[in-house]
Amino acid sequence: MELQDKPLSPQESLQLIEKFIAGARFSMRKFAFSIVLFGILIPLAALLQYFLIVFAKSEWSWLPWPVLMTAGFIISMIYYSRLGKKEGVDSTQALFFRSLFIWGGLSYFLLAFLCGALQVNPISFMLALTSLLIGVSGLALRYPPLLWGGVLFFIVAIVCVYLAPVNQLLVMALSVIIGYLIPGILLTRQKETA
Amino acid sequence: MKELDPILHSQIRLAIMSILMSAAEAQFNYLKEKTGATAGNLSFQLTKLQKSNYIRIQKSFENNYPLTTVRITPEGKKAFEQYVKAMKHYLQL
Repeated sequence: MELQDKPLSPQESLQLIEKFIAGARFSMRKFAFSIVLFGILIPLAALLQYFLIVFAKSEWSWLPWPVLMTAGFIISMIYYSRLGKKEGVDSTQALFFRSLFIWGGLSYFLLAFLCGALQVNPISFMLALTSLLIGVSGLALRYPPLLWGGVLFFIVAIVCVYLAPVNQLLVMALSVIIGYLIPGILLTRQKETA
Repeated sequence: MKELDPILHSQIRLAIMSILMSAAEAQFNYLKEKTGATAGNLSFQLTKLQKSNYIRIQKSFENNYPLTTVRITPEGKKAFEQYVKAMKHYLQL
């Protein structure tokens, strides 16, 4: 139905505003794409590094991280860029989450660089940053599985300090599957009502 | 009753502004689909909103096709908020 260029009653005005503001709502299911993607890539990188350290005794055990994380970053950028163009609208919520995760993603690279330069094990710091990103997302979306994921990473970041570095990789892989991948998969099944 | 903003007090322009309030940006075709307006009418209404400095229109090309992207300005947001406030005041909400 085409809208007319005619004045409205106050009731009609508010009804129309309510209807059209609701139109550009944020899609939680589409947001879940990057959560699921990194929920697969992070455990994969951690397990590959574990394998390269324990079984292959390789000096290049760190290599899965830059390769898989850069790939994930590029895939996410392409996916969301194409999605925005296809839908013809970019909601403010989508802009917020995209900005949060782009900044968060770049901060992982910064943390990796800083920990490398200072020769410090990065895993607890990475988990702390993940706790922030996932916890904030869970609170902003009012979505408990993500919020609990954030709490889990908060605890695991502390636990990892007391574990041997190689075992931290296994704990990290497991915590990402529980606190990141599973909430991401659940999010893909959400109705578009956020 | 307070004087209502005549630019916003029309179905189609209010719908456009409502969409833009919850969107960082929207493309011309998206607005056309959501409002059900013809291209000519939508263009006319967008120009009216632009002249009032409520929206910013950016024209570009994508795959050799023209792409028109629309964003709300800070003045537009302020005008919209004042309009809603005036409506609520009128309805005693």
